[in-house]
Amino acid sequence: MNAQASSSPKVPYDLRTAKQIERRMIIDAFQRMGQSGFKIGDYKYIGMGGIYFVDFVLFHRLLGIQMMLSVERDENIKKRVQFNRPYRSIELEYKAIGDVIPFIDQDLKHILWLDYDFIMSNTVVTDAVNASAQLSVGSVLLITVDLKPPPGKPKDWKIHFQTEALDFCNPAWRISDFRQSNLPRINIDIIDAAIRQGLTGRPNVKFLPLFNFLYADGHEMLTVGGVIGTDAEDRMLDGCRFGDAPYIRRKLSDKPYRVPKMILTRKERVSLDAAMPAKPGWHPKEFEMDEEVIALYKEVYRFFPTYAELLL
Amino acid sequence: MLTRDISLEAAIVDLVDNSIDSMARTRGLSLDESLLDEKAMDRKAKAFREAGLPRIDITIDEKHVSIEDNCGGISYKNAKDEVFRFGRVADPKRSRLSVYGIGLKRAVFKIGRDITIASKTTKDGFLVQINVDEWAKTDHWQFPIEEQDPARTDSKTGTRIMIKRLTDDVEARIGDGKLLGKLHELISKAYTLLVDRFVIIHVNGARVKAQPIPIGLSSKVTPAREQFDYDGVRITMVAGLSERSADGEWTLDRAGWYVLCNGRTVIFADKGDLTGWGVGLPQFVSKYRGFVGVVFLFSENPEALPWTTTKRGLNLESRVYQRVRNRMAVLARPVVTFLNNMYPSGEVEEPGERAIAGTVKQQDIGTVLRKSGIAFQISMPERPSGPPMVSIQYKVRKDRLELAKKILQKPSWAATRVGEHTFNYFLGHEGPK
Repeated sequence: MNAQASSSPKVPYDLRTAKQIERRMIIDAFQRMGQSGFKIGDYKYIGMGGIYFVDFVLFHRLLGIQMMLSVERDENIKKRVQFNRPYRSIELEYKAIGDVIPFIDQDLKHILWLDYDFIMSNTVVTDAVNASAQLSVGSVLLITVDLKPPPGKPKDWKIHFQTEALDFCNPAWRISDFRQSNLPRINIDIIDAAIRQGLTGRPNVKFLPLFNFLYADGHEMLTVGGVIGTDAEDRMLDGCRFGDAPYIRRKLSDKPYRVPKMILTRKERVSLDAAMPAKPGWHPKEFEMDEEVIALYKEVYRFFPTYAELLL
Repeated sequence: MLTRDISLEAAIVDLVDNSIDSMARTRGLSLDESLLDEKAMDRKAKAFREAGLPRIDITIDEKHVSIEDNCGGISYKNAKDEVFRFGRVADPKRSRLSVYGIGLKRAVFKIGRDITIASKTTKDGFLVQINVDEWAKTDHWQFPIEEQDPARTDSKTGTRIMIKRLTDDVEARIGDGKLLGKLHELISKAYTLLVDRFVIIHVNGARVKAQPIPIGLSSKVTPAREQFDYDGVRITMVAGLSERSADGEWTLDRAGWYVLCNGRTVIFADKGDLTGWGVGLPQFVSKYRGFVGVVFLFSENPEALPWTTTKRGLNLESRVYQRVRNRMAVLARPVVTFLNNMYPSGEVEEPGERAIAGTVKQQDIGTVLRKSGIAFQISMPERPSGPPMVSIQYKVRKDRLELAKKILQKPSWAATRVGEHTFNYFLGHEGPK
C-alpha cells in the first residue's frame, strides 16, 4: 500500500465541488480560530498540492499563510509540479508525505494535511501515529481517506482493515460491522486510535477534534481534523465563535458532517442567495424547492463555489 | 520471592550486574550518558588498561555456581543497608543497575540452597552464609551479616559468591549443554558497552567476547540522532543501517531496535510492537534487515527507567517508554523508507540504494552518535538522465535461441542481444509508427 502514484493528473482537483466546500469550511474555521488567538497566518502549511495547488492558493490568499511545503510522491512529474507552482514561496519535496513527517520543525506550528486519495492502509495509520508524535502543540492535523470499500465481501473488508490497521482495529468489530454504511465509523475510529497512540506519553497533550467531514465528488471521502493541544488550546477553541458553524465537530464520536450535494442551477442559486440567510419556513415563490434543501443551502451557500466556462 | 520469574541465565547476569555495580562505584566509571562520549570513554578505557582491567569469573558445574570478581568489593555498611536489606531501599540512587534492590537476592535463591557471599573493600568486609532450609524456618527475615577485616591492598578487593546444593531445576538446566553458550551470548549482549573495554568476563575459563551494536555509517549514510529528557530520564536515540557482511547481505537476527538502560542492554534486536513495529512503523519484514536503532535511557534513579525487574523486558505502561516508542518510529521512518526503495516490488532497475548501503561501515557507538544528524540522510547520486529503465528476464529453450540466431544470421550474438533485438523488432512492427 506504499507505492501510491499521484492522482493529480487524473482528477481535475479544482472542479470538485464537495471538496471545495470542505476546503472553504476548514478555512472558515481557521479564520474563526484566528480571531480567538491562534496565529494561523504564522503557521506553516504542509500539504499535497499536486499540480493544482488549490488549497495552497486558498490558504495563502485567505489565511495569509506564508510558509508552505507541497509534497509530491511522483518524481516523474517533477517539472510539471514546478511549472504549476503558483507562488515562489511554496517549497516542493518529492517523497511520500510520511517521509516528511520526521523533518517537521517541532518549534513551529503547522497545518499538516495528510490528503490521501486511497483507502485505509498501513501508511495512513503509521503516518497518523508519527504526525501526532511530531507536531508541536497548537498544530492542526487533517487526515483525508477514501471510503470506497476494499475489494471483495465484508469478510474480506475486515481482513483488509485488520491487516492494514493492525492493533488500531477494534477487536470487538465483527463482520457485520463491516457494512458500507458503517465504513465511515470504522475509519474514524481507526484514525482516532492512531492519533491517540501517537500522543501517548506527551504530557497533557490531546487531540482536540474540529472536523469530521464526509463528502463525495465521486465516491465517499472522509476528512478528520483537529488541533494537537493542551487544555489551553482547548479553552481557546471554546472561545471560538463556532456556534453558527454547523460543520464543526468537537467530538469524533458524534456523527460526521456530511457535505450536502446540491443540484441547483445558476439561476436558482442567484435567487436563493438573494434570500440568504433565509428565515425558517421561507421558500422561493418562483419555483418549487423542498424546505430541507433550503435549510442545507443555508448551511453551505457561503462556501459553495461557482464554476463557469470562460472563453479565453 | 518469585524466583520462577527469572531464568537461570538472567539470574547469573544479575550477579554480574552486582559486580559491575561495584566496579562502577570503586573505579569511577559512571553508568551515565558519559558512556556515549567517545573521547571520554577512550581516555577512561586507557586508564583502566593501565591499571589492569578488572575481572569477573563465573564458574558453573553440576555441583555449584560461583562468581568471583576483583571489582572493588561491597562495603559492610552498603551490604547491611542496601544489598541484603529486604524491601525498598531508602536511597536506591547509589546503584544504577539495581531495580528495586531485588536482583542479587532473587538470583542467589533461584540458584541454590547453600549460599556464601564474601566481600572486601579497602575499608572493611563482610561475610554472609545462608543455609536456605534452616534460614526459612526462622521468622526474622534477615541475612546474617558478619563484619570482616578489610583487604590489605587494592588488588585484593572484590566479591566472591559461592552457591552450592543447587535447586533441581537449575541442576537440570546446567546439564542441558546449551547453558554456557547462551550465557556467553547474554553477557556479551548485556554489557556491549563494557565487555573487553572496562572489564574482562570469563565463563568457565572462556573469555566472553564483546558484541558491539552493529550500527554503522559512511560518507554517504548519516544515521539519525535524537536526545531529550523526560520524567528524570535522559534519552538518546540513534537509527540507521548496519554494515553488510562480506557476501553483501545483512544479518536478520541482529536487525531491529536495541534498548539499553543505564548502559545495560535490555532489549536486543527487537522487531515487534514493543519497539513500534506495526505501531508507528510498518510490521517488520525481511527487507528491513539492514535497520538498526539504539535507545539509551539513563537515570540516576534506576526505578525511573522502564525496564522490568528481570532487566530483559520493557514496561509498556511506562509513560517515558510510551513517548520514547513514538519518537523511535519517527526517527526510524526515513531508514525504513530507504529500505523500501531499495527493495521495490516493481521491475525497476537495480536502484542506487544498493550501492549506498554497501558503503556503511560499522563504528563504535560513540562515533556513530557524534557523526549522526537530526534525521537519517543519504546522499544519492543524481538519477541518470533519460527515461526510467526496467529489466526483462525470461527463460527460453536453448535450441529455440539457436534457431532465433540462425534466422537472424547472427550466430555470435549473446542471448541478451537476441532478446533486445527481438523486442525492438516487435515494437518496430507493432508499436506506434
